[in-house]
Parts: sequence; structure tokens; C-alpha cells
Amino acid sequence: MTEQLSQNEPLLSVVDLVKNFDDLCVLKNITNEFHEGEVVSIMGPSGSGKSTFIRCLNHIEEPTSGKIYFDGIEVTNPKTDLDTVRRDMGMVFQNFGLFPHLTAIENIMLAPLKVKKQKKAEARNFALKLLERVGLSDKADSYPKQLSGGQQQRVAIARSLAMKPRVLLFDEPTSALDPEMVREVLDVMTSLAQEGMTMIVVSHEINFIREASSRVLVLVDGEVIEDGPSKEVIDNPSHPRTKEFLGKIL
Amino acid sequence: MEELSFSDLPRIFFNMDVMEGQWSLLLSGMWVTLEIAVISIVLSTVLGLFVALIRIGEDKLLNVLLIAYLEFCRATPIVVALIVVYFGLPFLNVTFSPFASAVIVIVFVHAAYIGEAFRSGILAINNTQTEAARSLGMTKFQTLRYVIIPQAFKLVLPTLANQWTGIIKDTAICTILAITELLKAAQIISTWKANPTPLVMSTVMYLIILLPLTLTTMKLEKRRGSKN
Ligand SMILES: Nc1ncnc2c1ncn2[C@@H]1O[C@H](COP(=O)(O)OP(=O)(O)OP(=O)(O)O)[C@@H](O)[C@H]1O
Ligand SMILES: [Mg+2]
Repeated sequence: MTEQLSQNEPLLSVVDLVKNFDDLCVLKNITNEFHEGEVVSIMGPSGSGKSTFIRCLNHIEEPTSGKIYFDGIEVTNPKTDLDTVRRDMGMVFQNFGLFPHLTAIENIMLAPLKVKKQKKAEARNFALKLLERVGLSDKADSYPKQLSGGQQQRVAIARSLAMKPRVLLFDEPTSALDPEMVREVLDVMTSLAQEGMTMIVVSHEINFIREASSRVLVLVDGEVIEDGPSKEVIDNPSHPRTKEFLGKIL
Repeated sequence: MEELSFSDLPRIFFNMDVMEGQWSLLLSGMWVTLEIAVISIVLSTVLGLFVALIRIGEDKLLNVLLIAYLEFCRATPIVVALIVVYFGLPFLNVTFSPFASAVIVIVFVHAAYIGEAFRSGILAINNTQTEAARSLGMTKFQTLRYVIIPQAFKLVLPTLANQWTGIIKDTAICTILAITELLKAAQIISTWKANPTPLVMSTVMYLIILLPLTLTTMKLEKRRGSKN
């Protein structure tokens, strides 16, 4: 059950997920499935629980109740070794989260070296390939603060890819970027999507959602009010809250 | 008593004839001071890091104990701690050599302060750093070791250097024990020669040891200041 999932077996499934912060109920009984190769966008107004949801998936946020299964393993089981699970789930943050004391290539190599115990030459070769792939071959030895926001985010994506994850989670990867840099990051993400990477992306980039993602979830007040093919939801939203929300961002 | 004039000052305080044949004792004293200082700096920094790691941990009891430890160190003159260890503990049949007593007391007291410095440095590192590292599958320990501590160390280096200066100064408490470190050596020569020049020379030697450290600290603080 580890490598090959049967056709109908989801890679990631969420059952009755609830998250409370003290009295505040941020996620209300969310149930959903994500299949291998799927690219799913999540959108919704500010404070609707998008970040909380995606952070629960790799257990960086601890759910209050409910179950999450990844590749057949129950992530929410206290006995599960989360460090092992997380190796296969990459995450890209709004504010990049690069390690400022390491160069771009060192950022990418750190986890393969320390977590996967790869040989230095092997890790380095793969890191160079990844840098090339995100168009930053010439920035291998630059420190994060010497890079633009768009470049930093591309390094962050390369860093996630270095662990050869089976799913990539993105939390508003372009919303901290200057408009002229959004494109370069979305291009990388689009090409990943085309290559079959399973991705769950919190984003409001309508063009990306429409073209690159197969499905979109609309989250409002901790509930999924809409779940359907991207084009359909964006062009013909059924729920009035979705219409209202899309009207604001389009 | 004979009348003193201003022109007598060099003869009293900078009388190099007094120093003749005495330099080796003074230098060996300086060596002992350096030994105590270096050992104490290394040990208190390592211990301080452990204190900080326990302090940022969840364990309530250990945290309360360490806060008590810190407050004890803040409220106790270091020379008192030394007297307790060297003259008090033997009543419990626990005896340390003067050298060991000095190192133990200096390390014990300064590790508390260094622990606080490390703790504030670690807490100042943005939580996204931890989240990014953990989401790559790194363990808590790996995250601290490769991501958080290197950044925290850089951040607190000026504070650390300040503490290290304090440690070097505190080695002077050894004069109350039978350790011929720099100050004690100077005292011995000074008493024997009935002239304060050796004491002045020991001050110069402290300056030679400390000046590079304090200047570096100043430079680090300036650089940190200009960054913010
Ligand atoms: N650590 C926390 N402690 C308390 N409340 C929190 C915490 N994190 C999030 N919240 C609250 O949970 C709700 C959902 O937050 P979340 O960050 O998931 O929303 P979001 O949809 O990602 O919003 P945005 O579009 O602004 O990023 C908000 O009301 C927020 O204030
Ligand atoms: Mg968010």
C-alpha cells in the first residue's frame, strides 16, 4: 500500500476535521479526498481557515479532532512518526521561510543531507538540477537576503522538491510578492502541475486556479461551501458566497 | 611621613626596577588567569546552551528550578558563592581544589546568564523557521541544531562576548584562594617589594587580555545596530 495506490485510493484524505483555537471554531467538520496527480486550489475570504486547514494536513497545526490519512498512514494517530510522514509532504510558505544563514544550495541540500543522510555529492547534484529547473542556476551560492522575493520563493520550492515529496502544500505562495514576481513563481508551479505533481494550493491567482488546477475548494467560515472543477466553479459559481467572494477578487 | 610631590608618581607606580626579575611570576599568573578563563568560558557557554534548551522546553518543574537558579545567581555575590563552595562544602566532606572551586563557581553563575542570553536569542527566531524545517521532515533536535541555534548564536554573540568579558574579570575572585593567578601574583610581588607597580602592571595585562574582546564586542554591536 506504500508505493502504488489503487485507482480509487486517495493519496490524502481528511475525515471530519475540526480545529478550534480556544473558543474559536476555525474548521468545522471538513471531509475531503485528494488523489495522486490532482492539483487542488483552495480559496476563501481572509480568516476563513485556509492556512489552518493546509497546516493541519502535515500536522504543523494539531487538529482538535478528526482524522487525516496520508498514503494509508493515519497522520493524526499519536503513534505515527510525523517526521517520517513529513518527508513526503513538501510545504511552501507565504513568507518563503528560507534559512537566512545558509546559501540557496545549502538550503536545498540541508534536509536531504540530514534527514535522508544522502552523500554530499549526490545531494549537491540534485540541488543543482533543481536550481536549474526553477531557473536559478546562477544563484546557488547566494544568501536569501541577496535574492528577490520571487527568487527566494523559487528556492523554497526547490528546497521542498529536494525531498522528492509525493504532495506539495502551498499557502499563498505569491501573495507576499511584488506583482512583477508573481509570474515567475506561478510558472514554476504550473510546470510542476503539468508534470503530475500532486499539489494543494491556497491561492487567489484566478488564472493559475483556472488553468493549472483541476479542482477548487471554496472555504468560508471553516466550511467548504463549494467543491468542483476549477473552471466550473470560477465561471459558474453556485453558492452566493462564492459569487460574492469572486466578485471581490476578480 | 615624607612629603610627596607629583613627580614622585612614576617612581611609585611605574617603577620598572621593582619589576626586575619579577616578570616571570606575573606572566605565569597571567597564564593561570587565562587557563581559568578559557575553561570557564567554554564550559559556561556549553552549559548555558543546555540551560536555554531546557528553558524553552515544556517541562514546568525544570523551568521553575532554572528560574530559581537564575535568581539565586543574580542575588548572590560571586565571591560569596566561592566561599561557600571552597570553605563550606568541605563540612559535607565535599572538597574541591582551589582551581576547581573557582571554575565551578564561575561556570555555575555565568551559565545562568548565558542561558538567558541563548534563550532570548532562540525565542527571537521567527517561528516560520521551525515550521519550514519541521515540514521538511527534520526532527526537533535537527531543527535546533542546524536551523535555530546557528541563527540564535549569531544574534546573541555580542551579549555572549560581554559575558565572556565578565568571566575574565571574575577570575580575580581567585585571589581569596591559594591560586597564584594574575592579581594574586601582582599582590605577592607588590607586598614583597613594598611598591604598587606590580599591581599597575597587572591592570595593564588585564587590559591586554580584555581589550580585543571588548573591541570586537563593540564592533559586533555596532554592526547589529546598523542592521536594524
Ligand atoms: N495560532 C492561532 N491562535 C488563535 N487563533 C488563530 C491562530 N491561527 C489562526 N487563528 C484564527 O483562525 C482563523 C483562521 O485563520 P487562518 O489563518 O486559517 O485563515 P486564512 O483563511 O488563512 O486567512 P488569510 O487569508 O488571512 O491568510 C482566524 O480567525 C485567525 O485569527
Ligand atoms: Mg492564510
